[in-house]
Amino acid sequence: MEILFVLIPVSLIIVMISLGAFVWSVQSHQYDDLEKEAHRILFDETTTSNHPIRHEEENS
Amino acid sequence: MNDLAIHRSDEGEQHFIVPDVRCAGCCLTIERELGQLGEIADVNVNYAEKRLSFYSHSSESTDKAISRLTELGYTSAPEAPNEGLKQYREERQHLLARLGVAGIGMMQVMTFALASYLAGPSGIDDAYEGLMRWASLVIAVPVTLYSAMPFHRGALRDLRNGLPGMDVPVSLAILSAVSLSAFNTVNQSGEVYFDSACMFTFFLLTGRFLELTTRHAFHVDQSLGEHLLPEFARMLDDRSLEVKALRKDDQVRVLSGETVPADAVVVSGSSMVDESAFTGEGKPVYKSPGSKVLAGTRNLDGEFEAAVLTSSEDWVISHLSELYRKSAAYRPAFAVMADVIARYFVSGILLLATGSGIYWWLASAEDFFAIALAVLVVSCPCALSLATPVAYTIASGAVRRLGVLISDGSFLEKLNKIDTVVFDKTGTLTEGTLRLERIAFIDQNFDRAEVLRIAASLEVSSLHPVALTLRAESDEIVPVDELLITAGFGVSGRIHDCEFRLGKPTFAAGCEVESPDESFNWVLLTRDKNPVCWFGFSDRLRAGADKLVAETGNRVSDLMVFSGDRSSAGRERLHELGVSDPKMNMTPDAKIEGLRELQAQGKKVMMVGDGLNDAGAMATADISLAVNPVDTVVQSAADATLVSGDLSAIPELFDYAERVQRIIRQNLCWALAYNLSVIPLAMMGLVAPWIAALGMSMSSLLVTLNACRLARTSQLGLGQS
Repeated sequence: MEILFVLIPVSLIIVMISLGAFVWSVQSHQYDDLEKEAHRILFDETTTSNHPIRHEEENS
Repeated sequence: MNDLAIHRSDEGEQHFIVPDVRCAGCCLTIERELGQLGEIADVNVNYAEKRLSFYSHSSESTDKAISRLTELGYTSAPEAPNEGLKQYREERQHLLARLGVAGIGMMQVMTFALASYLAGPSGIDDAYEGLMRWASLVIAVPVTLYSAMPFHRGALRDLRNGLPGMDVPVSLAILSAVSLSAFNTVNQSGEVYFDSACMFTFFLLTGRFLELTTRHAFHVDQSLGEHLLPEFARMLDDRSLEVKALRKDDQVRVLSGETVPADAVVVSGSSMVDESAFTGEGKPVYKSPGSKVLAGTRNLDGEFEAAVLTSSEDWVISHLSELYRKSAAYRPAFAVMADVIARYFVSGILLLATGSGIYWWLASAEDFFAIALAVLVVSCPCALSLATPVAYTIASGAVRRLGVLISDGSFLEKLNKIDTVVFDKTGTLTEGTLRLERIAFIDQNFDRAEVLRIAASLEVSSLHPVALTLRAESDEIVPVDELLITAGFGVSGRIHDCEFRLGKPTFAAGCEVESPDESFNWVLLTRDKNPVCWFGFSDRLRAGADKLVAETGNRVSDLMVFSGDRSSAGRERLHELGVSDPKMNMTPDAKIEGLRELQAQGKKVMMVGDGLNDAGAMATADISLAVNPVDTVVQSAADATLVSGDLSAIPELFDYAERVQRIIRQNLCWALAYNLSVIPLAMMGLVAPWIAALGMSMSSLLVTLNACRLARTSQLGLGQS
C-alpha cells in the first residue's frame, strides 16, 4: 500500500489542474449559454467558417 | 437642437437584443449566416439572454450585418449599456467558478475522509491517516480561501458595520474548522473537519447561486420590454432623432414594420398596430387620425405620422418599467421581521456556540470543539432570512407573466386580507368602447356633422371611452382653446369665442337638465351653458364579466359596483350579472366617500377600476388594481396593473396570493422549527459537524426550492392562453 504515498500526491496534482481548467472554462464564457451548444451538432458545418476569436477585453 | 445624432461606436464589440430568438436553432442560424458575411468576426448569440454580440471593424460592416439579420426575419435593437446586467453576469461567473471549485474539492476531501470512516473504531495506520489529512488540507485551502471568499468578505463588512449578519457565523465556522483541522494535521492529534467545511461551503454556494439566477430570470423579461423601444425615431423630414430626445408635439413618421417610437396621437395616415406587448391581445388594432399609439408597439401594414404626446419619461412603457423596478426592490414586512429576528439570532448563536464549547471543555469532553462547531453551523438562520424574499421575488415575476404588474410590493400580502371588492363599471366590467346610439337635438340650429365635429375636438386629448367613440365619429378636428378635462364630469373649451362644454348636465349646463329617457347614458353638449344636444351611448358587458363576478364573489364576502353611470339600462345589466345593489351615478368624490364608509365598518377593500375618475378611489382603497394601461396617472395610483385586460385574472390572483402566503408560511415554519429543534440536540453533543453542515445547507435549499414552486403558473388557467 506504500504506492498510496505516490498516487495520492499525483491525484492532488491532477485535481489542481482540473480545478484550474474549470475556472478557466468559466471565465472564458463557456457556461454562458448551455442551451445552444447542445443543438450545435444538429447543424451542418459550413465551408466559410466562423472561427471564434476571443478578444482580450472580453476575457478580462 | 434636433440635430441628427448617431451615438453608436463604429468599431469594436457590438451588442444587440434580438427578441425574436425562439430556439437554440435560431441562435445557430444567425451565427452561421452572419459569420458567412465575412465582414464581422466572433458572432455569438446567447439563447437565454436573446443577445447578439459580434466584433466589427467599421459601421458599414455593422450595418451590413444588421440588414442581413433583418433579411432573415429577425428584429433587433442595440443593447443599451446596462450596469445591472453586466454586474449580474460578472457575479454569476464568479459564483459559478467558486461553486465548481467547492464541488470538486468537496468530493475529493470526502474520498480521503472515507478511508478513516470505513476503518471503524480501530482506525487506520497512523502514517496513512496522516497522508489523508495532508491531502485533505491541500484541497481545503483553495475551497476555504477562494470558494468561501464571499462569506469572509460579507462577515468582515458586517463586523465593520457592527451588525452581525448571516455571513459571520458561516465564515467563522468555516475558518475555525479548517484552521483547527490544519493545526491537528501538523501536530498529528485530535480530529479533522475538512469534509464538513467543504460540504458546508458547497451547499451554501449552491443556495446563493440558485437565488441569484432565479432573481435574474425575472429581470430579463423586464429588460426585454425596454428593448422593445427603437433607439432612433424617424422625423417628418426623414432625419433620425434619438428617442430619448423626443419632446411633446414633435412629429414622427412610422413606416410599416417599424416600432412606434413614442406615445403619440396619429395625425395623418392609418394602419393596423400590434399592441399585444401591452394588452396581451393578439388582434391588431386599427389606428386612424386621433388614435393614440404607444411607444414599443409594432406598426404592421400602413404608414402614419403622429404627434408625440409627452417626453419619454411619461410614456406608458417607461412607467411600466419604473413600476416594476420599484416592486422588485420591495421588502415585505415578513422579510423585514425575519431579518431582525435573524440578526438577534446570530448574536445568540455566537453566544450559544461559545457557551456550549466552554461547558463541554470544563466537562473535559474531548470533542468540545466539534460540539461548538456543530452548534454554530446547525443554528445558522439562513433559511429563515431566505424564506420570504425569494418567494416574493418569484411571485411578482410569475404574476407578471399572467399580465399583472405589481407596483406596490405588499399587494399580494394585502390581497389575502381583502373581504370586499369594489368594481368600477364602465371600462372595467363593461368594454371600454361605447356605441353612439342616438343624438337628441335641443338647439335645432346645429346639424349632426357639426355637433360631432365640436364634440370630437373637445375630446381630442381625453382617453375616456366617450372621447374615443366621439373621435371615431368625426374626420375633422377644429382647434380648441382653454381645453380642460374635469375628471368624472366632462370637458370644456373655447371654439370661435364660444364656450362649449360636454359632460354631465350639472357640469355642462350648470344645473340639472332632464335627459330624453333612461335607456342610454346621456352626455350633454352646451354652448355658453345653453343645451345644444344629447349624445346617447350604450356599452356592452365584457366577455366573461358574469364569470368574473361569480368567481370573485365566492372569494370575498362582499362584492360591490360603484358606477358613474346613471342609466337604467346600466343598472339592469348589473342585475343580470348578479350584483344585487350597484351604486349608480357616483362622482369620483362619492366613490371615495363610499370606500371610506366601507373602511369605517372595518372592511378591507380592493378597488378595481380603469379611468382617471377612479384614481382617487384607488388611492383610498386598501389595495387597488388598474385595468388596461391607458393612463399613467391611474397606474401610479394603483398598487397593481392588469396589463392584459383579462379580468379572469382577478379570481386567479386571489388564489395565487393565497398560495404565496401558504408557501411563505411553510418556509418560515420549517426554518424556525428546524433551528429550534436542532440546536438543543447539537448542544447535547448529538450532532456531528458534517451532519450539521448538511442539515443547515439542505434547510436553505429546501426553502429556496419550495419558493420556486411559485414559478409554476400553469396550474392557473391563465398561463395557457
